This record gives sequence, structure tokens and C-alpha cells, in this order.
Amino acid sequence: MSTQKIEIDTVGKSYETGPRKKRKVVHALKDVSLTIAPGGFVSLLGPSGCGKTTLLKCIDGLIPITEGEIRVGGKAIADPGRDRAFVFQDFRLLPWRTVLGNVCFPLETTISSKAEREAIAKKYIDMVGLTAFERHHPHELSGGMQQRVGIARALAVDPDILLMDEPFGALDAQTRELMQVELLRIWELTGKTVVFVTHSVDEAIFLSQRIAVFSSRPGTISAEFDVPFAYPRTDLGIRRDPRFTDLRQEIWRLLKGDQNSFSD
Amino acid sequence: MKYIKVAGVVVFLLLWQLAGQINPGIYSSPTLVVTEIVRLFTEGGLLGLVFGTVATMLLGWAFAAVIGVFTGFLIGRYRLASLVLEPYLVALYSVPLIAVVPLLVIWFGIGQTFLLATIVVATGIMLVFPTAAGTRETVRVYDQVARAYCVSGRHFLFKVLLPGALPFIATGMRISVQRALMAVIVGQFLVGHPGLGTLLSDARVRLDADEVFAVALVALAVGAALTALVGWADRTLSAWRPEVTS
Repeated sequence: MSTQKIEIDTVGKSYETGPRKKRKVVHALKDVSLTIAPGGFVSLLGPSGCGKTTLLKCIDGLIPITEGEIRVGGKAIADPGRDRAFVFQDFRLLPWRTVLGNVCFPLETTISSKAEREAIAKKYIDMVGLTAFERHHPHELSGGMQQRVGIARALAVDPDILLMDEPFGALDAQTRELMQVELLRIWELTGKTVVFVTHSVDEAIFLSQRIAVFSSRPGTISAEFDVPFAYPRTDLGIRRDPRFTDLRQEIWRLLKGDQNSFSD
Repeated sequence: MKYIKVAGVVVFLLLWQLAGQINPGIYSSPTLVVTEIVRLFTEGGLLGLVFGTVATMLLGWAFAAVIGVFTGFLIGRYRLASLVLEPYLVALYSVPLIAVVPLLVIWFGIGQTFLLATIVVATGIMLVFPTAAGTRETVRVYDQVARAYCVSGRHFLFKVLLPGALPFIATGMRISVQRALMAVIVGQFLVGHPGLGTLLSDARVRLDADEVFAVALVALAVGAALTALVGWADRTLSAWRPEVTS
């Protein structure tokens, strides 16, 4: 029995594309291996199209893998499960439902009592700070608030693992930094294992314990970095720490090398 | 701007009245039409005919909605259904209603059933494509959400697909309401089933321009009222959408 929460074991994902006579095999992921400890916070970092979102969706079971194995809690997974919850980049809330209705949504297949569902939903709406807005519809909320709903919806199913696909990518810079601090607070409060996809080096360093840097074509993990800062990291001052800037520079150099290798 | 519109209507009515003075048998006139409307309501039993016509229209339209939404859902959700059915549906969409009428008479006779069938053929198709588009769009946006949260089958259908497609269906209802009314009136006109259409065909036989104008105006008013009602229902159903396009 492994002590790791998530084990990604030489995973590959390829698919065929193009017109019928000129089918080409594209390797979205190749030989990806990564382990994540229970309660860990790991970021998948890389340029667009490097396969980091694909890997995240494979961990959730939304996309089938073609090689290797992904184990969650020691068991190989093939389908989405209640032990994992997904936070989408563009929120994907149900616009005809209120905040409360959206957070209740994933509970409706498992909990028959409406009062019970709403009690659970309210707990997480409160955790993300939206209690005053639970009767509002998504279009009445800002992007940051909508993603808070997305996070509350994910937490409502009480998963072991939060899979977050560039959750703050659509937000403005200030909201983004606020949400990062909020996420760390919620992570420390709930003890979930978080896998966080981003293309922002700063965001990855500020949030994670460990960063897996992707290179593209085929998408694979080219390096892993441990982030030396202790939690709680509510102080944004760590962004000026020399270790922060060193790490940032090192990762940038790696990403830039990857850019050059396929731009010519 | 509003004054110009009102002035335009006044000038039009005056010109019409003037034309009516010259040859009332052909042009009729606003005063003659109003008198005729009053007469039709008081002596001609027009109110009953209006209710009968609208009732038939609503029943046929309801059938059309059920059939159209179901078909639209099938071709939006299942690729096989789309491949098999779509060519026929496109053909049906393109064919003029009048070309189908003889066939409907052969199949359904000239009674109430014929009228309902005419409305279904005329409007059902107008609900198929919006429903299909709404179904596809909802699946595209929410399929992964539903799967990620283990919502499937009946729950997905009733809690995601149906509410997601509802504004599209409402649009289909909105664009088809006028056509449903037209279909029932034309149907009555062609086979002589009692209703607004029959009044029109009778008036035509008697060369009664006053009555033709009167019935046309009443039909216009009924159509406008129904359109307003459906528009209101559409806005209410789609209240969660920030921008409701008209």
C-alpha cells in the first residue's frame, strides 16, 4: 500500500487527428510520472498546449489515458469519482441556478433531503465568503465571486482531492492575488490534496509545495521544484524573498529553453 | 420620432378614408371596417369564432411543440438520429406549406384533425432546430461538469439539459406563434372549417371588402396579443440570462 495520494505512473495520452487518409498520431502526454502526497499542494506549470490540463482531466477521469496508470489512494482510476472534484477555468456554473442551487447541484444525486443539501452547501458558501449572495444568479456576480462558487461547489462533495484547472486564469491581477490567499486559507482549513494547473510562474511558486514543470510536444514533465517557503503564506512579501526570485528565474530559464526548442 | 409615426398613421387613415369615398366596394374605409367589426362581434358571432380558432391553434401548437422539441432533442443529442433525420427535416423546412396541404387533406380529411395536422407541419419544424441547437450547446458546455460531479442519466436530462435548452425552445415558440395562427387560418380558408379563415373565404365569395378588412384586422390583433404573451413567457423563462436578445 502506497503512502501517496495520487500516483501518475508513466502515463501517455495520444490521439489521432487530421483527415482520414493522412491520420497523424499526436502525443498530448508521454511518459508522465508524478506522485503527490496526501494533503499536498502541487502545481502543474507550463506553456499553453503542453498537456497540463489534459493530465488534470485524466486524473479526474474525464479523459481516458492510453498508456500507463493513474492511481488515487492506491486504486487505478478510469472514471470521475466522488473522491475528486474539478474546478473549471471558466467556472461552468449553471446560469439558471442561484449560488445556493449551484453548490447544491452535485449533492442532488446522493442526498435526498433538500434541507440537508442546503445545510452542506451553506457551510461551503460561507467558507468562500459568499453567504450574502446565496440567492444571486451567476450573472449578477463578478468573475472572482463566480469562481468562489466554483470552489464551493467542488468542496461541497467533500472530496479528498481538488483538481483546479487555471481557476484564476480569467480573473484580473488584483482579484487573482486575493483568490490565491483565499485558496491557501481554504486549503489549510480543509486539508485537501490540491493539484493546480497554471501558466503563471509566480502563482505556482506562491501557492505550491512542489511544482512540476511541463515541456510540450510531447507533453511531459521536464523538471520538478520544491518550494522552500513555509505556510501560512498570507504575507505577499515572500514575493520579494531572494529565494523566490531565484526559483522564479530558474523556472523561467527552463520554460524559455522549451519555447526556443520548438519555435524554430 | 413618436409623433412622426402617429402622424404617419393618421395620414394613412385619412387617405384610406378618402379612397373609400371614391370606391367603397373595393377599398372599403376605416369607418366601414370599424362598423363591420362591431357588427361581426354583435351579430356575426365573431367572438366565438376567434376563441374557436385560437383554441385550435393552441392545441395544434402544443402538439407541434411536443413533437418538435422531442425530435430536436433527439438530433441534438444523438449523432445517429441527426444523420438519419436531418435531410428530411431540412426538406420539410424548405417546402411551402401549401404544397403539403393536399396530402394532409387526403390523410386527415377536412375536419379539426386536418387543421391540427396543418399547424403541426407548419410549426413543429420551427422548434426542431432551435431545440437541437440548445441541446448541443448545453452538452458542449456542461457535459464535463456533469461527468466530473457524477451527474448522469435522468438527473442530467432534467437538471442540466432541459433547463439549458429551455431558452432555445422559448425562442422557437416565439418565432413560430405567428406561423401557427397563419396555418390555422389558411387551413380553415382552404377547407371551410368554421373560423376566421372561413369568414375570409365567405367574404371573398361575396366580394365584401369591409368584412375582409375587418377579419384581417381582428386576426392581426389576435396575432399581436399572442406574440406579446409568448414574448413575456420567453423573458420570464430566460430571466437568468443577462442579455435576452429580441
